[in-house]
Amino acid sequence: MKSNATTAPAAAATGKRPSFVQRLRNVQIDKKKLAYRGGNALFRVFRIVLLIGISFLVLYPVLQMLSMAFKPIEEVHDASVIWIPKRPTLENFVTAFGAMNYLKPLFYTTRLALVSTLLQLVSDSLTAYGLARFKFPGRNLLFILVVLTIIVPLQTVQIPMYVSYVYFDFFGIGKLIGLFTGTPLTVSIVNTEFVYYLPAMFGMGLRSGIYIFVLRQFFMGLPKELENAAKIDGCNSFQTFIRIMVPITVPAFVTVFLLSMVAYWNDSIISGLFNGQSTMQTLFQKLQSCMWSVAYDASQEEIQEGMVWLNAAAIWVVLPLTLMYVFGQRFFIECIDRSGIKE
Amino acid sequence: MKAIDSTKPKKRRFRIRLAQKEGLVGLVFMIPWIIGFIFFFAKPLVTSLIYSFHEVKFVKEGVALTFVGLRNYRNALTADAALLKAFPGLLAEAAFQVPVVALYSLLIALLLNQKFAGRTAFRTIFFLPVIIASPIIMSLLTQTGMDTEVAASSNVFIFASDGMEAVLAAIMGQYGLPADIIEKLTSVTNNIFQVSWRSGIPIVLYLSNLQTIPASYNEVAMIEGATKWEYFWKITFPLVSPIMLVCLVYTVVDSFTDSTNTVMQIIQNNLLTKMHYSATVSWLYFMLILIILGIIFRLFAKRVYYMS
Repeated sequence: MKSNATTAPAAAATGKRPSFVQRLRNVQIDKKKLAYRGGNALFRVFRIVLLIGISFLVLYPVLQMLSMAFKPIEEVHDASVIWIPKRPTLENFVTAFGAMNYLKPLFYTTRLALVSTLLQLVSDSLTAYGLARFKFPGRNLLFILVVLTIIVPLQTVQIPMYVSYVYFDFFGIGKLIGLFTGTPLTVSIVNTEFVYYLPAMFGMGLRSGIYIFVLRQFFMGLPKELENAAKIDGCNSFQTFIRIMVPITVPAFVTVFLLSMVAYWNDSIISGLFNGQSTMQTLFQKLQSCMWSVAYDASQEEIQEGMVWLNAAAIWVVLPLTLMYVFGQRFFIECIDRSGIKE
Repeated sequence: MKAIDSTKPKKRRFRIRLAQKEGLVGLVFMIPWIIGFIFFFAKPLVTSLIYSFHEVKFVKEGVALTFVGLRNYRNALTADAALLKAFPGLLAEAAFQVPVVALYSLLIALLLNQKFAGRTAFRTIFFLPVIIASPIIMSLLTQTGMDTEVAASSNVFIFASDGMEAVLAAIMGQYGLPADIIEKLTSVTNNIFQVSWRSGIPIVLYLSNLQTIPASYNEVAMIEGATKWEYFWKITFPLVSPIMLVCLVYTVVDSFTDSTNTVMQIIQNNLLTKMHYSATVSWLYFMLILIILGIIFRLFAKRVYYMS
């Protein structure tokens, strides 16, 4: 370095053009930058290798499913076909579509999941906001109770739940009426859609606790100045929530929306226990009855042959959710830097 | 003198400060949840607690209860070999999986949060387990729904069912590795698989949290000369710590309430014939989960960083 610095002015002073070697000496290589770039490239390769590796692990069963679904029945017992069928066919998808009577349960499941999720989103976000941004006596106790709702499996409470659904008395109002009329007013809501909607409306939907927890953490992470500013501008607490807090936490809402949709879509507990005799069937109930129809009284070979279209049916069931995620995840990315606070 | 008089407390009893009044608005926000909690959670839960001290028989009018005291609990803790055997295994599994899932999903979320080609595709892939890991589809994939004998054994691994484990064992056996080491290694591969499937929801949670970190933080940190390493530990990590707590809790609950594990099977199997026993086991079980979560909260809740 030192010689470089001395030769360059010397050459300039004598008026000679510096020789090639000299000029080469004068090029200063920023070793730090080079190391940084090299490290970056290395990191990129490492990242892509790691992601592809883990993706394979995650995708393995999915690929298996796809491979089965595109396989014609004749190739099921063909040992030379492992992953890629020799003559891929869409026939299984057509069979599965017909066997499940696909469109009807699709609309039914979509309606159940969507309405429950929206109701759940409202009640959960209100609860989470109350827990996160206000100080009142018993707040910690209420939060512990929220966590409690996460950890108690639905199986623990399902029989008492069933009884209370059969004799549903509108949160004690029916009983109160009974005091005057002699017979308590109760309605059975088993096998109606209300077994989904009612708990969701009151923050007790599927996995509600975890969503309240998530939303609470998001709300807690927001700066206090937001509320103060809103208060000065004349918002009451509810307006602050709707106009300030909800728009800022859209990524959290989108996340909870997606997860809740999946939970309701994949639900087998509520639909099996409280909605089992309903006239309509969800996609999963359809899939399950298809599985039973294949497995019932069947030999091992028949089951294997049935597997090809059952896998196609399973793909039909998960397809709408996958599409929803692919389009929905854009919202994760677009909602950056909305908090808009300057300090 | 008059001024002093006016500061004397007046006779109104229920005087609360403005701050307290504002705090109570929080309770108003929680009213729907409190109603739901009482009627859809507390009531059935207390009923099941009452069941656990009784013998329950289903009769025409509903259920008939005979008080038996602590007999159900005694049976569960002394006589039920399957249950007692299941607890240590579950604890060991959770002790391994919970921290691994928490760190692994953070790592993946950090990678997926960067800008690179194919990011959208990878994000979709890592979300797929969330959609597919429902019991029914899993039973289809592992064919357990078809085969009652296989369904009876509680732990069915996808790789094991496909002979992958056998292949692995055979390959490693050629190099003269002792059998128990091979067994350990194959169980590790199975665990990696389970971890990657359990991490779907934590990854989504982390990702959405990472998205809320303003880009200006990064700019400031770079101007101040922070390295990426420092940026991660001093900015990113504290800001995702609230979600890390959620992920820990979620993973604990997820690994314990997986409907394929032995205890959940016991709860499920006794549901219609011995409701009281099922209630007893589930109460014991979620007391255990509660203790574990209590420990996690003790350890982590104070270290979580909140901006306000």
